[in-house]
Amino acid sequence: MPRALMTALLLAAAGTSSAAERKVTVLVEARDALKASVLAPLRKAFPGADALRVREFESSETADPIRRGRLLSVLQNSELLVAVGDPATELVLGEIEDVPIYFVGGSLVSGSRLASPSVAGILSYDVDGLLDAVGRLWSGRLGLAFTPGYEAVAAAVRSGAKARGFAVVERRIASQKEIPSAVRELLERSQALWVVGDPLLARGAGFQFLVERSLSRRVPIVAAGPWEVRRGAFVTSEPAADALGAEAAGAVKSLAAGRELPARVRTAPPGGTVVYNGALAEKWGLRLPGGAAWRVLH
Amino acid sequence: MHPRRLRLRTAALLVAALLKAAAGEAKIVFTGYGNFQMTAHQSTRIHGDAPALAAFKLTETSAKARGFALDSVGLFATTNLKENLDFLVDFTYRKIGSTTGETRIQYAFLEHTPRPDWRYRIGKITLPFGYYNQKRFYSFQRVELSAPIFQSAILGLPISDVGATLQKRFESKAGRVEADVYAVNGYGATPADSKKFRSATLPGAISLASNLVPSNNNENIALGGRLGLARIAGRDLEAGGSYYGGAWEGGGTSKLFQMANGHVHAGVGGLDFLAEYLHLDVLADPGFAAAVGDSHWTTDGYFMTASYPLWQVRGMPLIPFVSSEGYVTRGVHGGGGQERLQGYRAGLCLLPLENIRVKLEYGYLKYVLPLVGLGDLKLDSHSALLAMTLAF
Repeated sequence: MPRALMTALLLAAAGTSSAAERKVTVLVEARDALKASVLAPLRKAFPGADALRVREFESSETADPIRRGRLLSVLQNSELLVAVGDPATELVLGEIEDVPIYFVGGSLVSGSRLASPSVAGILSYDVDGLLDAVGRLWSGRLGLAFTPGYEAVAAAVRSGAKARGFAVVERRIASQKEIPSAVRELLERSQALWVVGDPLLARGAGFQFLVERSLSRRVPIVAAGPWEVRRGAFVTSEPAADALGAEAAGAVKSLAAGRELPARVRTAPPGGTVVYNGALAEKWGLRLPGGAAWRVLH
Repeated sequence: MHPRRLRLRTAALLVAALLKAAAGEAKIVFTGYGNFQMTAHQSTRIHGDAPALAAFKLTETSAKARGFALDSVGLFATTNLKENLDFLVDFTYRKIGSTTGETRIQYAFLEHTPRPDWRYRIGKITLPFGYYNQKRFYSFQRVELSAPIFQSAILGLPISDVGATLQKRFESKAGRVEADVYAVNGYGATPADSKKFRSATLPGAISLASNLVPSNNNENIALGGRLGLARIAGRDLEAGGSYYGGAWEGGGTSKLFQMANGHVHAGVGGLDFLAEYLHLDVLADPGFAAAVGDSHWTTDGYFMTASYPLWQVRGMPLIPFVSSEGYVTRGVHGGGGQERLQGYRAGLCLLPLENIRVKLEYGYLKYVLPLVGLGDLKLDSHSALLAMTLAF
């Protein structure tokens, strides 16, 4: 057998690729609202048939341990893993280790994963857009609750809030036992409370405590995602999907080529939609601006 | 290929896959489940004709039972060796008390998907036979608590064996066509007697489950396949037919064991409905001739199950379900009695979390085993069961 043919066969069997670019695996929930807007620019950025592998999943798949294992084993062997939307981000950041991860439009991200050098991405909310919305409804002091890993987001909220005339009261919360005292203090001293999307604060007992206290003190919570707004937070923002997709494609292209990103974690580009809790707005007698940039959740 | 050579080759491939995984070239993902079961109440009545009872050294009797068991714990290991090449194993521990009564490797196979529409598996595989065997066998895959009794207790579920299977998929106007063919070691004779396929003895020996083992006295290979149409009209509708055929003992086709199955599954608008028809045909089996009066015997029967998420309890879906089954085994040429099994079950399944299922079920079972010249042995059973399945 000619040597070249033999070498090609051996390389094919071993799965060795001569391409310098890392192969990209994209994970997206089949019905995710961001799917079309993010996949289109990614496919344009990676035109080769083998360069981009898209894996769609359904929530029922992750409840079945056999199918979940199959999905995770494929993801675990990725060279660069891109998670699109909240369900994919939650699954990937919760289960996959030792693989470079880029998330797109995730709202629920633990601070410890955000701090990891192998994790980068774009959060689902636009800090400036949300601060503009908050500034139209309240003034005075803005509370800020964040966890270790969210320092860059906290800095963006802090500077944006100060630029809009807010005084910022903040607490860095590292563990569950710190939540009660920090939340009490922040709610006593602020007119609205910004809470980052760390599961410590945005899910479970921590979130339950936060919502109960905020409702009793009538202090609105500015949350990371619609899940929280449906359960008692007041306002969040959803990203402008096309702009998010374009920005993500550029970042993923850079990462696949081995280039460093200017900022590892970013918030969503401007132009998103402000989403608010209609029941709370009615209860508190708030008049909210209409139009395409505001959407009510019941 | 000779079965011994097939087994050796399969073993070599599996060992190679494991070595590659163990060498750190592939990462192994472990998932699993646990199924806890409580028999809140069970009453069983054994009765029948006196000679038949005497043959089993039984008297007419009623018994009640209650108990708790860790029914099964399973660990699934999955590794992606390279793109489109996976290795999967299921280690299941059953009959768990202070020690584990039974450890099973329910499947362990190498799966290669060279093209999106072609896939083959080599190793110990779950046979593509019907719908339940591959898609509903595990307790976390279904809302019902108990599996169909005939299939689980007599035929033996899951039907998994050493061999290879090949699948071709393609889209048609009606839906997605899935064609599977397989070659496996196959069912052999009953372990207690190499001349019998099924024995009319109680308890346990009427089951065929232990006839399906990786190494048995049967040198023949069994062949089969399934042709199914899935996603009919773009919906979660599926229908298909399956076949299994192979001699159960040396002697070629003169000792043939054949199974045929037709299945329909619909998951539309929350309603989940599954029905399977099963036909067994066994030649030259002196074992069950003692029951049905003929060494050529057949079984015909069905099971069906339906569920619908009717209620929500504090945001948790509560799903009522019903299921029934009926099977008759008879001699082809007549002359003997008929083995009859009928079962009816109804219950509720609560889903507190996506990966937890709490189930409550009431079931009634009626079973008749004839004995040539001695009459019938009968069993009636009522049971109330509770279970919790946790997937992780």
